Parts: sequence; C-alpha cells; structure tokens
Amino acid sequence: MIGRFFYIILLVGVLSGCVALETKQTKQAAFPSMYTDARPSSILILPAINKSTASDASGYITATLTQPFADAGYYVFPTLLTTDIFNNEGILDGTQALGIPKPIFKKSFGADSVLFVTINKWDKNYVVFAGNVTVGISYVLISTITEDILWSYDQEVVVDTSGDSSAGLIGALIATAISTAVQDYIPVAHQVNAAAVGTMPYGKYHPSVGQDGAIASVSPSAQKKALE
Amino acid sequence: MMIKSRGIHIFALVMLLSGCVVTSDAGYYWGSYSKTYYAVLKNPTAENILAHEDNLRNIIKVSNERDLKVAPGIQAELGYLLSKNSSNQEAVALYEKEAQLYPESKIFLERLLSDQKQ
Repeated sequence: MIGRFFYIILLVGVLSGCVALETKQTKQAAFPSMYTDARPSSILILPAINKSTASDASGYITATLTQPFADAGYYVFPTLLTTDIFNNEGILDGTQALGIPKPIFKKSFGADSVLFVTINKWDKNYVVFAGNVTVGISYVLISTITEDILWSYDQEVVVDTSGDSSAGLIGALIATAISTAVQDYIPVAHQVNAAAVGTMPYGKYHPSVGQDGAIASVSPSAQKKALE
Repeated sequence: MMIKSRGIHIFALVMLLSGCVVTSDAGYYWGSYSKTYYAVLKNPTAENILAHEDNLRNIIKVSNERDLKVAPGIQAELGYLLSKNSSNQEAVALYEKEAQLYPESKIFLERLLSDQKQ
C-alpha cells in the first residue's frame, strides 16, 4: 500500500516535469560557513546585472529584493539609498563592482556581505488568451571580510500570467486582453526571490537562527550554476 | 481543553475582523512596500515619490501600533527621501531610530549624515 503511494508520488513528480532526480542537500552541508562566526549580519545589495532582454526586469527585482532577505533575518541596506550612492560613484550595475575589492564595502558601508544579483532570463510568452513568464535569476553572496562566497543560488520559475483570476471572470478576460506592458510582475518577482531565499540559512534577526541547518532545501546544481 | 480551543477560534476571528496585519517570519510588516517602490523606480515623479513616502510612514505607524520592530531600511529610506525635500530634522531623527534598532546601519548612516551636512 505504502509502496503504491510512493509510486504515485514519483509518477506525479515525473509528469509535472519536476526535477525529482537530484537529492536536495541540507542548508548546513551546502553553506557550512553560514553556521559559523562568518555568517554576516548585514547585506549590501549591488545594483542588479540585467542580462535578459526585458529592460523593466531590473526594477521589478530591485523593488522586491529587500523584503525576503530581511525576512530571513538579515539587515539589508535600503537599496533606494544605496543605488543612488552607487550611481554617483559610476556604478550603474553590479558588473562594474565585480572588480572592487570587497573589504571596501566593509569600510565605506559597514556591510558584512555584498549580494550580486544577475537577471539571466525574463522571457514573456503570449498566446491570445494565455501567457507566462520565465524568470531566471542568480544570486551570489560574498563576505566583505574574507571575500569567500557565503551563499549562491540560481533560481528559475515559470509563472502563469493569463489574466488575474482573483479579479473575477470579466476581470480575467480584460486582464488577458490588455497589452503586456500593463501586466503586474511584482508577484512574479516576489515568487522567484522567495524560492531562492528559501535555501538561505537564517540570519540573526530570524527567530530560528542557527536551527535551520537540517532543512534539506538546497539543490547542489543550482548552488553551483549561480557561480558560472 | 474545550475552552482552550474555543479561545483559539475567538482569537482567529478577532484577527480576521481586525483586518489581520500580515507579518513575515521575522515579524515585520511591509504593507505594499514593493509596489510603491517599483513605481518610483519606473517613474520617479513627485507624485510617485510622495505615495512611497506615505506608504513608508504607514508601515512605521502600523508596526508601532502592533508593537512590531520596524523592518530594516524603512526608517532610513523615509529619512533619505525627506532630506531631499530639506526636512532635515525629521531625516536625522529617522536615521537615529534606524541606527538604534539596527546597529549594523550605524557606519553607513553616520557617513550619509556627514555627506548631507556638507
């Protein structure tokens, strides 16, 4: 009986196109330094690197990044301020900050870590009444003290954007009918960020800090892919 | 046991009726932060900036009313926007509150403050 149950789960997993073959690693095994004194208490988010074809993707990602990292227990420097400061220094996106020695961010901002965010994919697909968007983002968190990589993840999600079902039938029809420009991608951005941050060990302001090491939520290939 | 479970139901009902403020794991209230912030990023008009300021004020107000810690960055961000409109006194007070709540921000905010004084 139990055997059959597992078989059905496996079958559903395979049919839904979910990659069930890779064994998930625990947070502690994947990111051991995050369970030592090396765990940062603050994160400085660098302006996103946009490699996608959608120019508006950066805005959506920037506007939704602070929340999940703060909720995971870290102090996140307000990006509305830091983006202005970076821009004044001639850093318009994270690419220009790649070569900067990381301790400089410790000295000038007091930040324990810097987060590089790259938007690899933001592909909108529209067919008359249906639509979806494929979003691929990679995140790399680097210590400003040791310059070691503390956390990395590559997250890809496909989100159905065919109208807004919460707006009722007429609302959904209208939503599907109007142009791509009006689509609200904030929930999409929230979804992709939340999925990635779910693999990150909690920081000092989270009530379960240090107690989440056994959670097996990390895909080793996604951890590695972010560094490519 | 019976009374306890009824208590939980009443609690749930009260939460529902009071317009249940959604908070995160870390206990923060964010209101519609990313929505008004995105509008500013996309189109930094005076109107959009003002709407974001109002949103930030509301997040601080609701957090204080519910005895929640104001989320990281919120007070500093409001202070920064106000300092651009030369509401410097209020900005300094907000920076101080942020630094008090999150000592990690101290170096950054002190530097910001000295830059603004020049």
